[in-house]
Amino acid sequence: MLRTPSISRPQRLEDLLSTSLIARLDPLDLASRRVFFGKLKGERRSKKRGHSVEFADHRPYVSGDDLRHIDWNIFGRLDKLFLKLFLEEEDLSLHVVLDASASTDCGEPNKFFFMQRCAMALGYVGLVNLNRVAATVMGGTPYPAPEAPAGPAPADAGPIKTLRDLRGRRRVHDLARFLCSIAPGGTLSFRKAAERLALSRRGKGVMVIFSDFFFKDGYDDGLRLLSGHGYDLILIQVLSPQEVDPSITGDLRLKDVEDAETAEVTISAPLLKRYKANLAAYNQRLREFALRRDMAVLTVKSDSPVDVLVADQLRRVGVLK
Amino acid sequence: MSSLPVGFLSWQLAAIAASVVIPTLILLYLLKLRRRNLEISTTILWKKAVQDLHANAPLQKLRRNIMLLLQLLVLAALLFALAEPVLKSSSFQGQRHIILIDRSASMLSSDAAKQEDVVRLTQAKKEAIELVESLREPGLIARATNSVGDEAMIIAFDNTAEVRQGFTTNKQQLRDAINSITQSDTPTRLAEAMRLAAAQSPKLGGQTSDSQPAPAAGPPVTIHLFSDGRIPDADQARPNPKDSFVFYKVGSDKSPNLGIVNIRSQRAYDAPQKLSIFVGIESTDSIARTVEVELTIEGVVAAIKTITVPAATRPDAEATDQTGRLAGLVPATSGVVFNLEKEEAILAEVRLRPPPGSQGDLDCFATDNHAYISAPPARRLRVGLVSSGSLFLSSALSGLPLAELKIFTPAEYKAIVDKGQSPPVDVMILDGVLPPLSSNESTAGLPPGRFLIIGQVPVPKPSADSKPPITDKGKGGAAAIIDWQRSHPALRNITLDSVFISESRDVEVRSGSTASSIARTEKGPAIIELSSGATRALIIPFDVSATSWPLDVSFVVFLASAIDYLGGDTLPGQSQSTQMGAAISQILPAGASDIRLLPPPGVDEVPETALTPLPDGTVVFGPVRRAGVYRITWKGPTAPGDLQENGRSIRRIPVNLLDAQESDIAAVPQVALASRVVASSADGSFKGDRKLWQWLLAACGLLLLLEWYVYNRKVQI
Repeated sequence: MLRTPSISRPQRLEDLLSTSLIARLDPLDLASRRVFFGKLKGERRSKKRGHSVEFADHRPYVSGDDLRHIDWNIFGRLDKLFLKLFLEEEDLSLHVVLDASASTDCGEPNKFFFMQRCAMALGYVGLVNLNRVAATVMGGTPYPAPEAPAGPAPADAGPIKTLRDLRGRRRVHDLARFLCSIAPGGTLSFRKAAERLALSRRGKGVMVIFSDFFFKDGYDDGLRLLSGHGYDLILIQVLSPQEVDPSITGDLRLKDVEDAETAEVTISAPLLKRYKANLAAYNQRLREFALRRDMAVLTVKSDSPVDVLVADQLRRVGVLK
Repeated sequence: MSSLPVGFLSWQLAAIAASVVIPTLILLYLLKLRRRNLEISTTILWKKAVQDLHANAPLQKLRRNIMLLLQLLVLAALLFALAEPVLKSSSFQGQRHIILIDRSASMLSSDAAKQEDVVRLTQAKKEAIELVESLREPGLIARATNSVGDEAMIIAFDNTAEVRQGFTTNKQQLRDAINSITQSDTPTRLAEAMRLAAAQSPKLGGQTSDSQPAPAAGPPVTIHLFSDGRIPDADQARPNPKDSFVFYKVGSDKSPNLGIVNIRSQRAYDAPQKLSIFVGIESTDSIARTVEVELTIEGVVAAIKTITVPAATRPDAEATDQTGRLAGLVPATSGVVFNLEKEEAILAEVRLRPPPGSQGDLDCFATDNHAYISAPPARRLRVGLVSSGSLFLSSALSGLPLAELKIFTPAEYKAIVDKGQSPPVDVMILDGVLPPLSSNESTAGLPPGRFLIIGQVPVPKPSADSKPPITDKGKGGAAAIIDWQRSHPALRNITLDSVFISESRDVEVRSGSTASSIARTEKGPAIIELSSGATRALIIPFDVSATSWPLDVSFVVFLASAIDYLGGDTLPGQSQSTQMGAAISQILPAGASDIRLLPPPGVDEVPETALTPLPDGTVVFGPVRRAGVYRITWKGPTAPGDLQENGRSIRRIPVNLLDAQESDIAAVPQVALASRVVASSADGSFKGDRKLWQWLLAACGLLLLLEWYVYNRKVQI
C-alpha cells in the first residue's frame, strides 16, 4: 500500500526472468478462450479450415473447389464428391498491457516489478511459440530518466507506449528492454489510455491487462472500450500484501501518490474492518463487471511467486496451456 | 406543589466546575490531532475516512463520537457527585436533633428486632447510628463558609440522664458517643432526660413540669426516642408542640417476663436465729407459669421451691387489645418464703429457673431472674445504763431482748472511766450524767463509743478556731415535738406528736458540724445525733421524766430502735439491700482505712473505687447502675456481719433491680406524652437525607470501564 521506499529496477531480461522460471515456461503455450484467425500460419489450430493435417469436417463439393481436397474414399463409397476440410494452424496475437501509474509503484514487493515479471513471462511464452506479441505500458516515465532537459520530469509522459509485432524467440530481449525502459509514475487516466489502445489495435487476440485497477476516474469506461472488439480480455489485478491487510496504526494523514489527495484517519479496528470490506466490495464489483463482459479476472498479491501465477493460475483461466 | 425530592448541597461548585471542564473537553476534541503523513497507493478505499475528512465541520465531527459522549457522561457524573446530590427527607424538620437512647434495665432484654440474642440497647444504638448517618451534611461550599448541616445531641437515660454528646455536626463524634453508651440495670425515667435536653438546647421549648417555664421557642427540633416505650413518667414530658417527637420502638411487644420484684429478709424478733426470706415474683405472661425458685446461701443451694405464677389478667373487657398484646395486661403476682435457722450473717441469692424438662431460658430478660439479699447476724446487744434510778428507763430496757443490761450508778461509771477503761457494753445509756471531763479528748465532748444521752448535753473541749457543734443555752421552757426525721433508723415507725415537754433545753446545733438535729420542737432541736470519728451519740437534751414521752409507746420503740441503731449501725434482723439507681451508703466501723469499693464480678464498666469516709464513718458510692453484689473492703475493725479476708474487712452490699414496672418488659407501640401520643415509627427505617454521590461515583467508574472497552475495541488491530 505504501510507496516502495527504494527499489532497484530491472534492466535486462535476467532481472525479469530467472533461468528456473524460463525452464518452467518453455513447455507452455498461449491459449485463448476464443479462437481467432491469425495472419501468419502458426502453430495454433484455427477454426478456419485450411491446409494443415488436422481433419475438421467434410462438405459437399461445389464447383471451383480445389480438387486436391476431394475425399476419394467417400466418393468411392457413396459416389458423391465431398471435400475434406482441415483446421488451419495459425499464430495468436498476445497483447500485454501494464499499468505504470504511480499507484503501482507501491507495496512490498513492488507491484510494478511484479507486473513486469509477469508480463515478461507471458511475452516469453508467446514469443517462443511463434505468436505475435505486443506490449503496451500505460502511463509511467522513461527509465532511466533522460538526463536532458533539466527541470522536473513531466508527470504524465503520455498515455501509452507500445511495442508491436514481436515474433520469435529472438525478440525476447526486445520485449525485456521495452518493459525495463519504463518506470511507474504520474497519474493515469485509464479511460484515455484505453481509448488510445483501442484505436491503435490491430487484429484480434488475447489482451492481458496488469493493473491494480485503482483509478480515480474508474475502470468501467476504459474496459468497456477495450471489450467487444474481438479481444479476449484477461484482467490481472495486482495488489500488494499491505493493501490486502494493512498494518498501519495511529493518527495518519494518508496521501495519494498519484494526485496527492489526503485523507486524515485514525486507524481503529472498525475502520480497518470497513477498509477490508470496501476492498472486498471493490474487487467483487470489478469481477462482476468483467464477467458480464466475458472478461477473466485474476486478483493476485505482489508477493505471489511468478511461476505459480503463470504456470498454474493463468493456465486455470485459460490464458496458457 | 410538591418540590423535587432531590437537592444539591454544592450546586454552585459543580456549576463553576462544569463551566470550565465541559467546554475544555469539547475544545480538546475540536482541536486537530497531529497526524503522521503516509503516502499510499490510493485513498479510494479509505472512503469513509475521507468522508470524515470532508465532514470536518465541528458539529459533524462531534456527532456519533461515542468516546466524547462517554467522556461527557463521566464528566457529568463527576460534576453531579461534586454537586453533592441528596435525596431529601420528608420526615425530618429543622436541623437540630436530640437523640434519646434508653439504657434502662429492660433494654437488656434479648428480643430486639427479628434476631435472637440481640439485646434492645444494641439494636437501639444500631438504629441511632443509622439515624446519625442519615443526617444532612453541609455541602463543600457551605463547609467553606462555616455553614452547618444537621446538628444532633446524644442523651442516654435510665432513671437519670447523661449528655453523651452535645450538639454537633460531627458524625464520628456522634457515633462514638452512641457506641460508648453502656447498659444499666436501673428503672426508666424520662423526665430528667427531657430536662437535660431542654437545658442543653435553649431552643427546645419543652418543659417537664409546670414549675419550669418553657424557654423561648426556636427553630423546630426533632426529638428521637429509642426505647421500648416502658417509661412510667412519660406523661410528664411536655415537648414543644412545634417540635417533632419520633419514637422508635425497640423490642417485641409480645415478650413475657417473670421477675423478682421484691426480696426481704427478716429475723424473728423473739428468736433472731430464725431468718425468713420473702421473695415477691411477678409474671406478665398471659398463661400461668411454673417456675423453680432456688435459694443459694454463700454459694451453696439451700432450698428450691416450685411455684406456679398465675397468668396476667386483663383489667377489664374494654381494655382488651385486638392484637392481644401483653402491654395491657395486669401482671400476676406470687411469692415464696424461705424459712431458715441461721444465726450468722449471710448473703443469699434467689434465682428463678425454668422447671426441669422445659426448654430454653425462662424469659428474655435475665436481670430480674435473680436477686441478692444479705442478712446481718442474729446478735443481741449489751447495754449499759448509768442512771440515778430512772424507773422508766430501767423498766423499758428490761423488756427489750438484750444480751445483757448492766446498770451503773454515776459513781461506778466515773470510777471505771477514771481508770482509763470503758464498760464492756455495746451501747451506753447515760441518764442525766456525762462522761468525766478528764476524758474529753475529742471535740465532740464524748469518748469513743456509742451513747444515748438523756437530759444532758455534752460539752466539748473548747477550741480556739471553731465553735462547738452543740451549745446548751439553758432552759427552754415548755415545748412539743413538731417535726422529726421519719426515715431515721431510730425514729422509724414512731410518732412523736403527743410528746409534751414541760421543761425543754435551749440547744443550738451548729450547721455543718458533726451534730444534726433529727427531731425538733418549736423552739429548737429536740433530739440530736452526734457523729464524730469513733463516737456516735443520740442526745436528748431534756429530762425525759419531765415529759409525757415515757408514758407513750413510742418511747419504748425509740429506745429499742436507738439501741439497735447505735449498736449495730442498722436495725438487726432487717435486710440490707440497696435499690437500683440509689447510692450505696454504709457506716463503717471507726478506724477503717484504705476503703475500696469492688464492683460485682463481670461488671467491667464500674471501676474499683477508693472511698473516703465522712466524719461519722459513712461511705457513699453511687448511684449504682448495675445489679450484683458490691463489696466494700477496708483495713481496720469489722462490724457484725462483715467478713475478714487477707487482713481486710469485707462488707457485701447486694444491689437489685426490684422494680415491677421495669420487669414488665413488653414493648409498647406508643408513648403517651403529656401533650400528645406518639406512635412508634412504623418500619424503623430512617427517612433522613440520603447522599447520592457514592452512586454517581460508581456510575462514573462503570462509564470509565465502558470507555476503556470502547477505546480498546477501536484501537485493537
